[in-house]
Amino acid sequence: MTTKPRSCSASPANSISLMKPTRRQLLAGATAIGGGVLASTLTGGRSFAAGRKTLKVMSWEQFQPGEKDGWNAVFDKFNQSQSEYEVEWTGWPAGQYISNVVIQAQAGGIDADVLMAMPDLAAQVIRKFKLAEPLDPIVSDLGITPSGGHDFLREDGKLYGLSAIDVNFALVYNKALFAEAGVEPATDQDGWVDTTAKLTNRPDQFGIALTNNISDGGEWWFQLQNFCLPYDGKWAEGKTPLANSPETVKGLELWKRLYEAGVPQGTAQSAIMKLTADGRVAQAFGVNPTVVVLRATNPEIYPDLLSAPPPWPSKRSLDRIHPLMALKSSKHVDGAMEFIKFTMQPDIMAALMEKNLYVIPPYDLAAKSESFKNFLADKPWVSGFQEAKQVSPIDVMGDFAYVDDQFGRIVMQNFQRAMQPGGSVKDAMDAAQKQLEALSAKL
Amino acid sequence: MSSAATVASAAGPGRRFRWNASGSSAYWLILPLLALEAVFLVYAIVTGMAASVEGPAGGFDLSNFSQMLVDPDFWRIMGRTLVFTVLVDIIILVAGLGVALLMNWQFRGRAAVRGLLTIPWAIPEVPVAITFIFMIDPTFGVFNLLARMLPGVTQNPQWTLNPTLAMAIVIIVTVWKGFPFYSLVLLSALQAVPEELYEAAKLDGASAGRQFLHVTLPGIRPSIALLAVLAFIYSMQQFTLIWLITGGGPVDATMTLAPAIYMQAFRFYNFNYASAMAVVGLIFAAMATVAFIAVQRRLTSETP
Repeated sequence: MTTKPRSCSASPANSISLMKPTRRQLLAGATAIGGGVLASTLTGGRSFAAGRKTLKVMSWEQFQPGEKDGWNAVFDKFNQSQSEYEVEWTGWPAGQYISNVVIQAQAGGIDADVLMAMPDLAAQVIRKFKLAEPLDPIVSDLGITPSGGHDFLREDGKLYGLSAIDVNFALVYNKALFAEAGVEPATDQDGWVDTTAKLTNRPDQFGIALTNNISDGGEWWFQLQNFCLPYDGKWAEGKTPLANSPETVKGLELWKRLYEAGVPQGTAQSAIMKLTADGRVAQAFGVNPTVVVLRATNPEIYPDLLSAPPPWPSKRSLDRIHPLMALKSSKHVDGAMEFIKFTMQPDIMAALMEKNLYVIPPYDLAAKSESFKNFLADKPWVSGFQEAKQVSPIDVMGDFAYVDDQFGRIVMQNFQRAMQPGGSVKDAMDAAQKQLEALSAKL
Repeated sequence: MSSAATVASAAGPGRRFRWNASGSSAYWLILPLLALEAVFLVYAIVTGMAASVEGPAGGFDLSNFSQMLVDPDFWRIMGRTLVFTVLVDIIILVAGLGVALLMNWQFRGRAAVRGLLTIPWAIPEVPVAITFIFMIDPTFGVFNLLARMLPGVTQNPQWTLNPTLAMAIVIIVTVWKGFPFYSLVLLSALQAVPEELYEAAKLDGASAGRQFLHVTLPGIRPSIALLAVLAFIYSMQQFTLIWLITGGGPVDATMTLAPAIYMQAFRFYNFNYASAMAVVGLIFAAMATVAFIAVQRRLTSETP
């Protein structure tokens, strides 16, 4: 078989065909154009002069629709404020974040200069992997006093993280539904159950939104973890699990009483949130962004939302600080420190919090920023969150903080037995305790 | 170019490609596919196997397997996987065959009904799971209406809180999602059974039931055997529907092998232990596939 050589003669027809790109040229051109468009999209117009050192901030915030703009603004301000560094995102969406960071840390280092972390991941990075750099110089330079929730970020007297995002739990309630039922937010455990029952008229109205489905396991444990606190219990002390301690069992029995009194039972978390946004759930035990989500789902409900501190005497609830940390393994530790210091400046932090509707500042920001003070004054629903006493998940989880998910899974799976009619919380937690003791041996 | 794989030049409008892919050229032609399989399948399996024999401190270590073999949870997971897999396998084949028999009848709008039947198979698993989550909601779900029609059911069932109901639900959804594929394949098999055999059976006075037992079933037996293998693999690796609908609960009642591997690897970060579980799953799947293929060969050789 012979191959006919390509003709290079310049006949009119061939001239036209020569002007036409070949399929390969077309694909190459399209790839180049696509690459250019992609590059310009990814840089988002925030490209600076060459020669700057790149500072990589590992986070999930670049994937958060309601928050990435606020953070991008911080990045832009930092990039414009100096000429040595250019800060860029790296990371994964929240759902995949911890596993990916842990894999890198286990492999010997995290490929970033600054790390934003969930509380349990932060504890691992500081205590287990020992990859964080102390941030005390930033604290003294700025003259700030980090909030009490920062305690779990301290090791040997040094502070290794500063809160970028802080969420805590309180009672969010719909004042219109409360007024209709003639009740006030509860201040003690029994009162909470009574109020919930009075606010419930199934299936039209539910007294309280509590996640109760194992398929929403992450959210459920996130919330259920608080229920060791109503009677001043803990889930664990060091390597000793306390799932069947009287305090924890009483806390979970309180959860069960609320579940029976007024929870949309077996309903998916997304549907519960929709019911709440539709004004069919009177109260929710949730974090401050819950209000933001409800407002986004149904803006009309927003004026009716208020918050109250956790309805038990200590008012203690879990406070989840998501800190920024400078990584020891970074080639630009100074740059990482500079970025964190920049972000923590009152005017920068205030602008970020106002843009992203964050209401729990890393330090007493209202005293340092008039604009943030006005921002909070405009939000009557914040008071309950502010009154809640901060407790870090690390404080109640002991050494199990590193296996928080596994711990929660064991508790929830066993607790489901207790949720069945006639189920005993004590028996369920005795079973959980045995499994947790086995887990303890693996720590 | 070798004559073994000759592509006739399309010199005239009536000429068609003639394909003769015998001899060594055939191996060259499948080489790209083999390369892809080697990179994306063999490499992944070998890497997973290597991880399964790596201890906490690195190096060769069989402790993942020894730990797994004495772990009662692992055997409970395997038991549940077997129950789930066998039930899905049987129900999906029975449902698929039943629907295929219905679709094999001549009736107006048959083509449209066939098209509609493929919808569950065409919908991605995530929206299917979300839809069923709402359907089984104990307060608002439509399944409650159906359940309340049953004698003795006076309250809405807690579908995902009762271990038996939760397993039933994930089986129902898995079957609902997968049966159209089995129906379509069985329909093709049914249509390949020679009409003369039915006519001969009728002449011999065979009833409809006897025609089904002695003509239809033997005629489609090889297809059923093949589909049984596919259904086994489909159900054994089912993750999305189980994970999204029950999360493996309640009390681990629906925690089969695939979600359990995911939990160990990506929730508890026990990657090596998860790899060991995956290796055992692979061995079971391979053994079952070999057994099914052996049965299929026997059935094929017995088919008249």
